[in-house]
Amino acid sequence: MLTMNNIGKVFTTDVVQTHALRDFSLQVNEGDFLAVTGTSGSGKTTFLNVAGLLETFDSGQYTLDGQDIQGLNDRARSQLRNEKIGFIFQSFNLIPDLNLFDNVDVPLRYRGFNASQRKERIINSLERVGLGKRLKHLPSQLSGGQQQRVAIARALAGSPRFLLADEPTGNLDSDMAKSVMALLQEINQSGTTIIMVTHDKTLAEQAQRQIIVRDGKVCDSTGPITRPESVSATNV
Amino acid sequence: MQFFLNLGPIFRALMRQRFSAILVVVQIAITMAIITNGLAITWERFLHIERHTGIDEHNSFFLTSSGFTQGFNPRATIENDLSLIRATNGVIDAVQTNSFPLSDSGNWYELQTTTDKDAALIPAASYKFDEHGINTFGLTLVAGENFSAQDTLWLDEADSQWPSHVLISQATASALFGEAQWQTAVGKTLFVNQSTPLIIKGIVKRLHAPWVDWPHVEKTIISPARVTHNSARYVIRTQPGRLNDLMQSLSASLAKENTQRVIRKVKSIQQAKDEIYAADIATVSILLVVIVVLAFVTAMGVAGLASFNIDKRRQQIGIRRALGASKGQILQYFMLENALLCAIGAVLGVLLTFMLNIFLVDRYSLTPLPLLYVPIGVLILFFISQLAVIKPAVRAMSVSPAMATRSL
Repeated sequence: MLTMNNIGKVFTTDVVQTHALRDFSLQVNEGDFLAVTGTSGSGKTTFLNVAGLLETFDSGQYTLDGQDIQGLNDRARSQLRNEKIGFIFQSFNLIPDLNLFDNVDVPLRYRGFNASQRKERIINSLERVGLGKRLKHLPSQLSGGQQQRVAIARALAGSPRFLLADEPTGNLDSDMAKSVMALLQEINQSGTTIIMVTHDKTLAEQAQRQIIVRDGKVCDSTGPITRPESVSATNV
Repeated sequence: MQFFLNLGPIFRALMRQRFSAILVVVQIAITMAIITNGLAITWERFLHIERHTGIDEHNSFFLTSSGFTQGFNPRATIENDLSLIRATNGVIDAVQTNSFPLSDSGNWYELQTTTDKDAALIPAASYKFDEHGINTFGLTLVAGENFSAQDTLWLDEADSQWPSHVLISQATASALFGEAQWQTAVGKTLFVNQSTPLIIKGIVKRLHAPWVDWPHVEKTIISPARVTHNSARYVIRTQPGRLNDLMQSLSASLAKENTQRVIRKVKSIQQAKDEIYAADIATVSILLVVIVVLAFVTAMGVAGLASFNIDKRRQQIGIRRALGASKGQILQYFMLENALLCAIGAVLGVLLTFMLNIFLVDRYSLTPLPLLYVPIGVLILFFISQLAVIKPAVRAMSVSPAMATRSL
């Protein structure tokens, strides 16, 4: 479903080249709940950015839901991101000037749904995260946990195949973190594939699978990790 | 349709950033009020300057012959001068006249169709020149006929006598006999100063009075006369391209021909026009500079605020990109946001435009603003503000979607 073969990503400045990902290979299957851990600077956020089509990669092959990503233009990447991927960010990344309804509406407008379709999806997804009665509230009127729930509702509203979560509980206290994790588990059980980047081992242990990223490579894994067959012989 | 449906969330988001939105709206509204009124005034003055006086302005000049000796014979000098000038190669025709359009000097009389003291009095500027006047000034005779040589009288300066026949401008004929009846004026009698009867021999299409700001500038009467005076003014019409050299050569020839006088005030009609309209030209130029500077300042203001707002929302742009917005959709968002501000500014601007115009009309007796200028003002402001926001919007477009995962 998501296959990365020998992905390389280099950041270049005037004085230094940083290999954020080197021969990064991974396969994620439908319905997986994968936790990606690693130290700061290990490359896990770069992996998330590349996996979520937020950044391009320099080498290797990446196939998302059967579609080769390399060579896609910005418009096609944006469309693919919009249709197939939902994002949950550490700092929630809600748009502060928009109320909850309009926040959840953002990706749906880019998708081109009509008004009644959007309304139905927005209300359903906000109800699913327990915020169906706060449509007109602004993000600033909510607690951190509630804001993250809105972000999850926004990610779910377009019925994505993948949910990419970047430290989803990083800004939450432990109670709120538990509640958000429970919600992610529920979403995963309903069939959505989740890739969660975290440095929190306790959270990572709640996922079906874990990989540890070090120096831009998958260096360890727990659970039934699957690597692409084509690279397993050479790289593992 | 989807394009316009996006206005709702953009408007609601703008309402959360009222201060910068209000700044842009107010700036657009004030600029629109000034630009719209400024353009109307400029255009009105431009039309005023450029209106056709009825004469061949580009190929004509005038000069004054002033006799200064005891034995100076004005009549003989005028006859000799006109013969010399008219015979000069490159001269189309010439005439001695008491005045001409754009000269800013002359006299006017009140005309009537009856001697009834209650009848309407029509003011008209008076010109005195011979049968060569039509050709010299390049006038178009639209009814009746030109004077003949026999019609022309020699008058002393103090002579109040009038020739029996006159020509009048079409505007004079319309004022005297009605807009639809002006052609019937030929052969009819008009009265000068409620007493002197004059028969209308012909009508010229247009001949302006000497004073450019006179409210009756289009109303003129021409009598076939030459005034004998030590100072005689000649208007000379040249063939195209000969104006400058004939201004010099004829001045020299005339001075040489008769040493009992001096030739002075040699000027083209265009020079006279430039001088008489100097204040208007300055007004128009200053207004145009103000309009351009104001438009530029507004554009800079809109661009500056847009840049500021975009910089402030870089992560928000990254979030939108991460959620699926293409570069084109980001560009569209900011252009649409600006268009929305411009539309609100335009509504306020229309009100301010009329308020400013009412003030200007009331205070400075300007012409009320023609309604056509309002949509023109709106379009100009819309164009300026959209142009101003293109660069910041293109910068917004280049924000990477990966910005969404970066902490600020």
